[in-house]
Amino acid sequence: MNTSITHIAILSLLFAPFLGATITLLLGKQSGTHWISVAMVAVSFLLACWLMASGYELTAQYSWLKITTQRSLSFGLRLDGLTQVIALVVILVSLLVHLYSVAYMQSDPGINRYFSFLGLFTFSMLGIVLSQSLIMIFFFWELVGFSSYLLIGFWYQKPSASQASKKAFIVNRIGDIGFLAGIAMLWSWFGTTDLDALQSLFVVSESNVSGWRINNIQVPSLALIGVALALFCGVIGKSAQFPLQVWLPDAMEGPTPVSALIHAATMVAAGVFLLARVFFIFPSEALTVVAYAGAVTALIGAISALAQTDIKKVLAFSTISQLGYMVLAMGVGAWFAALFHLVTHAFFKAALFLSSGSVIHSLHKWDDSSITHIDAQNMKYMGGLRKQMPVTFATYTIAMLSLAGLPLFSGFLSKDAIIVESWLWAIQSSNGLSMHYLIPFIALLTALLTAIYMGRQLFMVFFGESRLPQSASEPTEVPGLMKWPAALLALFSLGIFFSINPFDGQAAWLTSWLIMPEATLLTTHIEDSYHTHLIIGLTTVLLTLVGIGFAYRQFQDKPPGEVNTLSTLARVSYHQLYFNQIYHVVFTVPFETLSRGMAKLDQRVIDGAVNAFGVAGVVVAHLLGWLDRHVVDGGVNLTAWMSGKIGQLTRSLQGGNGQSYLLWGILGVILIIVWLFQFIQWRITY
Amino acid sequence: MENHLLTILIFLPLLFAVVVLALPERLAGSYRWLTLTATSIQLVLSIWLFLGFDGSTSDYQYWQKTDWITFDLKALGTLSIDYQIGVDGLSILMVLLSGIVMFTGAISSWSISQKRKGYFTLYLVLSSNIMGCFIALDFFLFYLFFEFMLLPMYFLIGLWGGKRSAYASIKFFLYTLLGSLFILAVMIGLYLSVIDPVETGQRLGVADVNQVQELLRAGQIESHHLVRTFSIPAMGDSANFIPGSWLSITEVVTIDSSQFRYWAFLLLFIGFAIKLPMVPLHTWLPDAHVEAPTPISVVLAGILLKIGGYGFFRFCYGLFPEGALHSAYWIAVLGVLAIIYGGLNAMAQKDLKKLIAYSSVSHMGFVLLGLASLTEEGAMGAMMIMFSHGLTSSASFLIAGVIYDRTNDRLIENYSGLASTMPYFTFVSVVVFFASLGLPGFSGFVAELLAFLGAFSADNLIPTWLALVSLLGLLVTAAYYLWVIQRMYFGPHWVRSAKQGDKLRDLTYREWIMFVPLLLLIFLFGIMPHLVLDAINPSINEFVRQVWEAGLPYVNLTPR
Repeated sequence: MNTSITHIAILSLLFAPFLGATITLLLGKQSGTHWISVAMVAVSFLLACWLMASGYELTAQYSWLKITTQRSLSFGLRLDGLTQVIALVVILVSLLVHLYSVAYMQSDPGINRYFSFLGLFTFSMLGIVLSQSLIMIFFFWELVGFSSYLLIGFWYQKPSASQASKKAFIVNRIGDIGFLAGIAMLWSWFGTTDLDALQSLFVVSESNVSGWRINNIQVPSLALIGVALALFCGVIGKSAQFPLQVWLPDAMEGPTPVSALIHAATMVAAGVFLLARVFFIFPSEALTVVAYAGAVTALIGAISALAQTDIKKVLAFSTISQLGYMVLAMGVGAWFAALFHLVTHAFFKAALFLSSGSVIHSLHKWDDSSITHIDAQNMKYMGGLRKQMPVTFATYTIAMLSLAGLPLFSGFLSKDAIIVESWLWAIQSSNGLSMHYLIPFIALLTALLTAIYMGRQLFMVFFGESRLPQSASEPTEVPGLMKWPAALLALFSLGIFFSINPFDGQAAWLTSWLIMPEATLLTTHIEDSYHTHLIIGLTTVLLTLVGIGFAYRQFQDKPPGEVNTLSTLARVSYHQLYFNQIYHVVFTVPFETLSRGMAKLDQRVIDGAVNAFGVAGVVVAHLLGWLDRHVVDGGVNLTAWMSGKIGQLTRSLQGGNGQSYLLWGILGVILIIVWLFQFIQWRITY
Repeated sequence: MENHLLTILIFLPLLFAVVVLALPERLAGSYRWLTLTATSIQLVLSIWLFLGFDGSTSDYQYWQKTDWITFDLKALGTLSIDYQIGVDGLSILMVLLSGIVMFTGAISSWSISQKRKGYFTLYLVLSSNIMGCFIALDFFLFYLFFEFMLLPMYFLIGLWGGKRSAYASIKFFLYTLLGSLFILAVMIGLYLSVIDPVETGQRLGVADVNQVQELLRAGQIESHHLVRTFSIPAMGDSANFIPGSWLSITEVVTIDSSQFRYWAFLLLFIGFAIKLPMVPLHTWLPDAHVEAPTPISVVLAGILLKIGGYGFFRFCYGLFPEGALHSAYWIAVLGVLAIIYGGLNAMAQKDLKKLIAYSSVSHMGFVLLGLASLTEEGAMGAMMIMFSHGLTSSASFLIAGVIYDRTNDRLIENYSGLASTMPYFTFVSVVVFFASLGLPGFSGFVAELLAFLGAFSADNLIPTWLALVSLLGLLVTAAYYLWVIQRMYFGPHWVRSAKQGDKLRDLTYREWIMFVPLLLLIFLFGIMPHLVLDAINPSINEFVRQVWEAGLPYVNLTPR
């Protein structure tokens, strides 16, 4: 099959959503144009399926900007197993979210704006996935951040939404600074950011005492670790890892389908995808840092999810926690398991968010028709919804069990793979030190907490009796366009879609698509063991069951506790471990103070000096003038003569003759300076 | 025609200025049409010039040289001032930018209603001199244009500006005058040191330029035969310096503060740094911007500041390469200082126009950083930042103008939720602000990216920690732009007085005409930067190569 058709197909796949977004935006207020966006994403989806079925691979490079004859900034496309799988996941979830949104956003006056933003996002996300060079990834990386900004702040009239959108963009920028620094360092060493070119350099690298010898350049260990961690900063920002996880819960201000697509399934997973692409750059030391960052994130995400009252916030923290798992997996070298979890998570988490969106939508409708008003996202007002919303309930339950990690569901396969590999990694790399066992331990603990908080949400929202105020109407099931996309996503959360063997993730068919690139900087290679699999698998299942059981006992038919009645531990969880408060005091306030201080410095000191200089000039002039008038005899005449001259000058200025005066003035000054120069030179010479 | 294109570009607006002066006051309505015609022709010519520009060479193109003033100074030799003009990769983008910005400014001047004759005359004179600055290849000619640009600007700010315009304009004038005096001193020093080898050869009867330079080095040319010149190409060649003269570089010694060349570089640098403006010589800029009428702010930020940057390329770096290499570290420090200090100041401003003014200070820091790196990436980035900032800052000041036209109030705190009543204006503002903060897809991104790549690649001139610190600029820039969007455009709709709220209608046709071309260009050059950068690539490469080749023997540095 010839490459040019593949090429055209990839480009069409990439640009179709962009085209849809542009058309929808340009048509503006016309109703129904959002279907164009949906159609374009569908086109993209069909192309992705076709490409995956045909199994073509492609690598293409284009020079974007020539710098010198040797160096140029290149863009490029890459189609291989990894990009095919991720691109398909992105488009599939995006298509389903587009369909869901048609119903969800139906009555919103800004529906066209919404769909064009969503199209822009899909385009940017596909851009990241299909990129061949780091510069191009960064290009789309920022665009993804921008579309996320637009969508979080979609309801811009809400101060909380515009605040959240700003926070998301800025926190992401912090990570991007590191990312860009890493790219720039690689560029300064190798003069390229093309991933293929870089990888071919790294594959033949040689390790020596002080670091690595790559392409005849001696790279010190610390520098390479620094570059790897700089690139990792981008991951920390986009994938909401500790310590930059604070933007993601606030991002829930956006419409719920947006949360499903961007802040659960795809964009936040871009960080993990990036890690997969630049994995060959990471030396073991850097990977260890990655593993710990992931573990900490997984744990604090899970802890924060425990006491939330907002239905979406629980899911947001759960996303943070699961992203932590993926990053942890990358850190322990479980490249495949991380990406596998990315894929399974995309489906079950999108299903969960869309279900929660359905609940919110339904409660909003109820709210519109009732006299008493409620917060449609607060779980305090939910309960018993399994009766009114059976399809949503089923969808939610399947996805929730997948997330909690019970066998037969996809989440079990991928999460189990991660925990097993982190255990093996701990055995391999601890060298008698027990510290590295923290990683699998945290992973297991998080699995327990996951079961607890997801069980809590399930029982609070769907079980027990309704806690809504008395009203004539009841919440109703959502329309088909919302119900079925969510249900389809839940269907994909069944383990059978990924592996015939319901207990072994390593047997999943995805293994033949997601093939880890050759990495020579790694020193440890993990040996598989049947026993570890069995023991870890059983422990995980046990912990999950315990967790769900505990949740049932604790939260069955109970509303979430009011904040002031919470125990200290629950309060810490509710306040997200006080990260926002700490950052506010440690970063935001000093930053604002600094900026105001600088403005004062500028106004008082720097500009003050300039003005003082000016005032001094005037004072001296007056003083001289006074001397002239009162002390120097005959000065009076001089002054009169001078003012006469100046008067003439001004008159001729008004007559339009000023330019010739200026010219003569300049010539005069020049002559004086020439004379001075000559005089000094003469003095030096003789 | 081809040969006189540049001359037409410079003097056509002057011709129109004469017409505007000649027309009686009762035809005042035609002034703006005349100005628009003149700037449109200028725009078309500059585009034509750019399209005809050969992007495969670093030579001067459309070059023209005529003797202008020749004085025989007997024993002191001959004073020669030429009318020498031409463009190369260092100036072509600035010429194109001038065409775009002056045209936009002319449309923006449509609503000027007071003293129209004076305004449009001065505007045309300004337009002519700006072009002259970028095109002149004779230092004296450049200096004339540079000075004559100052004068109309002074009046345009002072007479058509806001409440404190008298203060702002005199501050602008004195500051720039101080800078130009420094430039003048160096210009004269150069004049005394440099000969025109061709004309000197004619006096001597020697046709070969190399032979003339050989004779000069040997000191065998008698003083009265020397033809001293202001020609910039002649100044760029160290063989044209008279041995033992003020600014000669015939002896190979490491540059330090005991040499005149060191001080000459410094003076030139300060002179142009005031124009750029560089922290801490920047305080004239916020005042000038706040007081200037909208079109003049557009011209000031869009193109006048770039003369500072252009001066670095053409004069500081082009004529004193060893000074440039020697000071690279400090220039980079000043650049990073400007980026962060300007950004922090922008964040604290309450007046939208002042915020944009400080953001200009911050962006011009990238020019310094890119240049200091003395890499192809950095120099190209510096040039691209000037070009891109010309477009984005023009648009930003137009945005401030849109608000000010409607309410006479630019205080950020007096607005909220403008998106509700002015959706199109909000769209334009968000695009422009994001373009300014360097969002990929817009021209600012490529520019900043190149500057950063340059800074990181220049590890024998700029330490990595400094490059890292400069990246913080990305954060600060995002912070102040997003904050202003949040405060003014988002949130519930509110404007200080309801009466003002009534007046806040969305963009008019005239405003659309100003914004659309700018937005399209910002987008176009963001996606396809090679459209402009390929044309200047050879010149930039040659520029960097020459600075290293000519400067390296005089500094203690490891070669790149």
